[in-house]
Amino acid sequence: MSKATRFARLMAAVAGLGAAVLTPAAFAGGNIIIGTTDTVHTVDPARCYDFYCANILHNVGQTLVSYPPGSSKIAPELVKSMPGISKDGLTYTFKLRQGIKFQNGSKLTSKDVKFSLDRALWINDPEGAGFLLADMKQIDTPDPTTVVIHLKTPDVSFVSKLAYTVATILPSDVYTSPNKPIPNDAKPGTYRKFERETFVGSGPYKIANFTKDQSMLLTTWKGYSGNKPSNDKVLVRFYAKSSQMLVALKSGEIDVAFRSFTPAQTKSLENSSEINEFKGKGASIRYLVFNPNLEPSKSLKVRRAVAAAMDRDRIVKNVLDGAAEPLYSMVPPAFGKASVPAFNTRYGGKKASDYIDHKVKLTLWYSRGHYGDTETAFAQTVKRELEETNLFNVTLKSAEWAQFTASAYPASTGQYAAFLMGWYPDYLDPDDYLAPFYASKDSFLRVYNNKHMDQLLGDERTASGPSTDSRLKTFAEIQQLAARDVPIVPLYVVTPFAYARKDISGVAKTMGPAQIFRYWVLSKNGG
Amino acid sequence: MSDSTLSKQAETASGYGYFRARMRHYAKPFRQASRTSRWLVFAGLGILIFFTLVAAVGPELYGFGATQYRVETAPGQFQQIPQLAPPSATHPMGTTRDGFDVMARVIGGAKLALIVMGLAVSVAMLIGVSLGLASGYRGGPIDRILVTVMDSVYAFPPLVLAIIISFILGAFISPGVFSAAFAVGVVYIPQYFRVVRNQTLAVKQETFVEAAQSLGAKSRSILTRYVFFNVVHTVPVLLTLNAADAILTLAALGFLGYGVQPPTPEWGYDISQAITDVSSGIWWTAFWPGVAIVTLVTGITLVGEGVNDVVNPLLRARGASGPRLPRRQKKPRKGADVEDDSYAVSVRDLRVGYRTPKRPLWAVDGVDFDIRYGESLGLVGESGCGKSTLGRALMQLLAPGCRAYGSVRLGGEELIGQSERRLRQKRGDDVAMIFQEPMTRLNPLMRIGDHFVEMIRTHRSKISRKQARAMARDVLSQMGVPPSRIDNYAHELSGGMRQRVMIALGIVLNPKLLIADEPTTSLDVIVESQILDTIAALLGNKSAGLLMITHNLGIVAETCDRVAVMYAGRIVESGPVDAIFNDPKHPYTRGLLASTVSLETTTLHSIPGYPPDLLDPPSGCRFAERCPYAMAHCTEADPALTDVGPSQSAACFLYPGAGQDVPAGLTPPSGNPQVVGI
Amino acid sequence: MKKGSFGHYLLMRVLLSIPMLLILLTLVFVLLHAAPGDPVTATLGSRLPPDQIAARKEALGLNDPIYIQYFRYIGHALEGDFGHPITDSRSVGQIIEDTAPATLELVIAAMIVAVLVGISVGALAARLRDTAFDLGGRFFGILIYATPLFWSALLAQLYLSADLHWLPSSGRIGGFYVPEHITGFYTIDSILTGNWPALWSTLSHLALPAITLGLLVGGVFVRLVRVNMLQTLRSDYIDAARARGISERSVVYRHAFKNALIPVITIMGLQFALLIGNATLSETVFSWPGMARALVLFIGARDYAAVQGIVTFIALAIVVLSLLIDVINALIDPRVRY
Repeated sequence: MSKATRFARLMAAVAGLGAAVLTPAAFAGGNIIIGTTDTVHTVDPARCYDFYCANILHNVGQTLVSYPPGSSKIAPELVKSMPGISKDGLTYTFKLRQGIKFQNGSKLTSKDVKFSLDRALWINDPEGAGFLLADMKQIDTPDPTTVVIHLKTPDVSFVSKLAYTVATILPSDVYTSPNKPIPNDAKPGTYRKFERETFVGSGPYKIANFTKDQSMLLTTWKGYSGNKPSNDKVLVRFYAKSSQMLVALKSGEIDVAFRSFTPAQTKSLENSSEINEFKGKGASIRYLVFNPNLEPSKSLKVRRAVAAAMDRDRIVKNVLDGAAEPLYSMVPPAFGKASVPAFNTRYGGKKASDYIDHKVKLTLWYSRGHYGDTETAFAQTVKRELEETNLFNVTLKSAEWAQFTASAYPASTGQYAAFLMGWYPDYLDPDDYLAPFYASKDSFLRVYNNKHMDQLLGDERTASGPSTDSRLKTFAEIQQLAARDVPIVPLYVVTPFAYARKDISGVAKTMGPAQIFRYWVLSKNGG
Repeated sequence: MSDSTLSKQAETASGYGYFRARMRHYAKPFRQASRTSRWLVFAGLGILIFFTLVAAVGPELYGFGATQYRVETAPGQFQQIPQLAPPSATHPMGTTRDGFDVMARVIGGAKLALIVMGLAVSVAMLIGVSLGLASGYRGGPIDRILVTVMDSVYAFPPLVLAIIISFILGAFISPGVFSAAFAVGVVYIPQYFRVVRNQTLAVKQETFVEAAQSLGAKSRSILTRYVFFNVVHTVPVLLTLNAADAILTLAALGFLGYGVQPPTPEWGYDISQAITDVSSGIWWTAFWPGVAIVTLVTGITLVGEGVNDVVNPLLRARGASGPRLPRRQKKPRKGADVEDDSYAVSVRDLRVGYRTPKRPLWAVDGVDFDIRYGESLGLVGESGCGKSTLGRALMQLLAPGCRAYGSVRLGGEELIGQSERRLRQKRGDDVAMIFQEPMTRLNPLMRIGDHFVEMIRTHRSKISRKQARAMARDVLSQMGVPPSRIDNYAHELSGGMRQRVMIALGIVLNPKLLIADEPTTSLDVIVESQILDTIAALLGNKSAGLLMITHNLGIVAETCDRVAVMYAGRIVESGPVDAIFNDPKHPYTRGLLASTVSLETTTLHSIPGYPPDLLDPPSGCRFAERCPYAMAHCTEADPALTDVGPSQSAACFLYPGAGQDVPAGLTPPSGNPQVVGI
Repeated sequence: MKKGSFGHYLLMRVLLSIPMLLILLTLVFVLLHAAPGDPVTATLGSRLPPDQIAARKEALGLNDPIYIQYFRYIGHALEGDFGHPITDSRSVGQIIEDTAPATLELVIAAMIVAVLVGISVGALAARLRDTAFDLGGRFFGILIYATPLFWSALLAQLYLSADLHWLPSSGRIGGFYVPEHITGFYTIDSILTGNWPALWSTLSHLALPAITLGLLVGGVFVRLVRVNMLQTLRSDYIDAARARGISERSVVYRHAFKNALIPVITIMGLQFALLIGNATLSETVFSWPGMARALVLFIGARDYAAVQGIVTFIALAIVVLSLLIDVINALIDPRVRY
């Protein structure tokens, strides 16, 4: 046998053996592999403020209250019942369930609750979501099962903020706290000292291994107080590009793909015999911002002309292949009555020429590398819709995210007259879609300054309940006002999709309005 | 350059003719290059021209624009171009997700790629060359700093550097052609810098620059001119390499999102956008830009490879073009079949031809001689007369495309037509060669002893390594090399020492014939005489013959028994050393001697003119053109070798028997030409 | 240390690489700070009110004059402290520790592929000069060089992974086998721990990225080896060896090959830089959790600390690798003097 043939045979043998080891069947069992194109930067609740780290924390930790699968209504999680709220809306009293343990074996008590909430607020990580708890004044723990939280100002959405992972309850004997608020201008090292790279909580899973940008292995924790998860292990694999995840899903290297495929990819999966598609409720919105200090956005007429020129259905169809819904108000339709399609009412059937009669030059900015693969197409479609009115001359410009955010806002220093942005909610309340945009001081864009609006926003915050009629009315008024003055044009809300191979069940249960992908409901048939 | 070319140039020194001559001069290496190299250049240029044309006129001719997404069906009436339409008659390469025509994108991408490529390479060359000139010229701390900076930049991953620069530039000027070209180009600056700086340094140290400076010439302009001429060989290759790389880097930047501003058509960006299409079964959006990149880069690289083949003399193919030489010569000359095995080597009608583009070049053209065991024959003649080719033909060690005819009998065994295997056995064993340049003839990575062991064991497989080393030590000490040197490398030995090693290698297996090709040219006089003594001493035991190839008559006088004088591929005179030196017969031999300095020299002569062009040898006597005795019939017939004294023969019509009657009253020259003149 | 000794030579080389590192650091520092935008605004701009952002920037010293920032940075860097990135919870050192093995494993595997392909095809093409094989080999070299890495990788991924299921499409290791962390190199770790399934998984995941990346440089090597082989085959000592009757095989492989490889080895050192640069593409296409991709992401986020740390490490890695190449060269070539 010649050397060459020997070599060829050796290679064939190696390849064969490799293939044998790597067939998907080798991974079978009650184990599920989930792919994602998101990244997880941290597993410390004080720092986590991204969708995916929050989702991991939801699976490994617990909060006082949370959303049960399929529900948009907050329910007790670590507490026995929903809190008692004082009449002035400033004092919340929680009663803890008993017999709950942390993954390190210690008992969960009111002391841990106080410790965890204070810690998140005090660490004040600029990357984190500690600001959601900023209304807290003091926490009292009269006994091991009672927690009393005092607020500075009434906030009707406070309980929903407690469902966010920043309020994850942590064992006080594992984590450390600065014991007093860290000031805003502290050096990065200051708050880092209190943050951990590994997680200990009370959720159904433990993080067994985490290799950043590669994979995270979750194993079920036997001491979990709730129902045992439907699977034994979950491996989350992180992908750089959605196309890789698509190949992996099709070839069976992963069982579930959650966040995110591009519209074309979702289309290619539509009629697959091996893969099921699950549609969720949209919460992530996209919109166009005007800087009222700059030409031509200064002109209300121009802003209205843009609002009238937008054909949202066309964006949804051409850019997103239908994987989105048109958005006529900042509050997405998933919020039911709280969402008022004010832009449709005001500008539906109108044309740009109803507002302006001369040609307007506009530079539209969008960001690169932040909103995924469809961003250019999105910007281009907006440009086309404007130009097809024959009243706009649009120049498209893009910038890297770092530079984009530095140059876009706040309005006082912003350099872009018009730009495309997106928003993902911190907590599920219409307030989180309005105050951050329209408040004159507390908004991050600061493109709108209207005292009446500020007053309305104050009103809905101090309402007596999250969905009282008066609050809904205030919401409607806010949205009408926003549509009238058009500081921002809402465009669409992204519909989330999850994909699973046919042998996976339980996905549909977790695709509810709460935007939490609960791993414990997933199981593999015959695995 | 020969003077005939010079005169031709002088004739046509003006206008078009001059231009043509100049072009011919530049094109010469190209014409000499192999067919493959020329094919490479042409194919590459073809591709390059195609892309340039596409980029230049494509956007005008093609029906769709690169960023056009709708078609005007009637004035004011538009129809959108369908998204992701597969290739069809209207859209030959299909359409993209954005409703762009893929072919229009590819055409637009070609334009961008070529512009960025041109700009990037120009930027790099401009900056690199001027910095290199400045740095090399100024020297001192500036030079050191620049060199360190350039080396650091050069060592850094080019793509990462390009990303950083593109990213930064994108913040100032909106990402476009210029920022991309600059980002891509900066990476190549160090390469030009290096080449130019090193050349500048080298040229600066040349004496003529100093001389020019002392004469008040503008040294800077001299420097620039000389550097330019020296660098001009390296830069074109560098240029094509960088051009090809620029296309790939631009595409990589685009792919990673650091290229030009979308929706400007750019291949890399288009591919990155198409990734999602490909995984969902749409192939055309990613396929065509990729094909475009591969083709264009291949084209540029082909040009670069071809130019490198042409420019680099070491890669120029020898004897690979032109008609092949026939396998066998048609008819051996009469009397060429003498078989006498008492000679160490016996050569009859040896002809050696090189393959050249038009017709074969006969470097050796019908040579006969014999060398007895213990005898040494000196082969003399001007350079280019075929001496070395003859020497190599004796061991059938010929360049590619070169072929020998006639008969070479080594110790009674015919070598011409022998199998390569058998020839290999003979080489080193029965016939050994000592070369001109001992400095480069030993493998620098092998110890001296390894050369011996390898050679001995190749020919005598039964001898053990140990025995072979012992043999090596013996022969080395016989040659005056301390045997301890056996474990040294070649670079640790002096030139004379190396030549001794080469000779030792030559004689270790007791060959029948030793060929020494200018063995002492590169050595100083003292070493030369030692080496010659050593060689002469070798012949003492009568076991080998020696062929001493040299242009130095002194060496011949010192070491040889007999002499053969070669001119233009032929032996024109041969005889015993004494006879040749004291009474040469052939006018060429006389001229040769008269132009040599010796104790007897009264006036130093030189032979006017140059040897003939062997590609087109003159009819008749090849020396006739330069011969002071030339007669009318000299240019008509070939003189044959004829006896002109005891065992002395010459090929000249001055002597009877050469083929023509000697005119009455002619007295052939005689006596020592150094004394009596030619 | 004795002058002229190998140790002295090494020391000199190391000392000489210090200015190179400094220059690169300075270069990257200046470039990054020259551009508008800063990491605080980039990462927190959408969340914090401007006064808080200003406070954070002040705290990080981003408002200081650039030369003060520069000296502060160099000072810290000399102490081995590359600071904390803003967009990542890990320290720069930790990031490098996490990502460098992945990149180095990929790059070294690619280099092995490149050397194997380059040397075998290049040497054979030179030996069979001007034959069909030579032409084919040269063309192969040019073609694989001319094929953009991300494009060929994409096609390979789609065809070999998605369609044929021969090799996994992306990632560094499959399923649930991550070997125990010892060196961070999965191949080495899985061998050390005797974790054979992990080794197979690692190798099969490594195959596509390493081959596509390796072929890119392999194309350069094919051309380089061929040209060097051709030049060496025409050198005087090769001629002399032939004149001694040494067999052609021996001439090519004993005499020419080694000599032709010396310049190739030197250039190999430079190709490591090319490989690390192109690893950004490989790592993106194959979701390889390496340093090169991290670097690109950090550049985008303008995360000074992380970018500078990684750049320094890359420069350091290249210095070490080129040092290694020098050592190898010195071992092969007796002429190298220190």
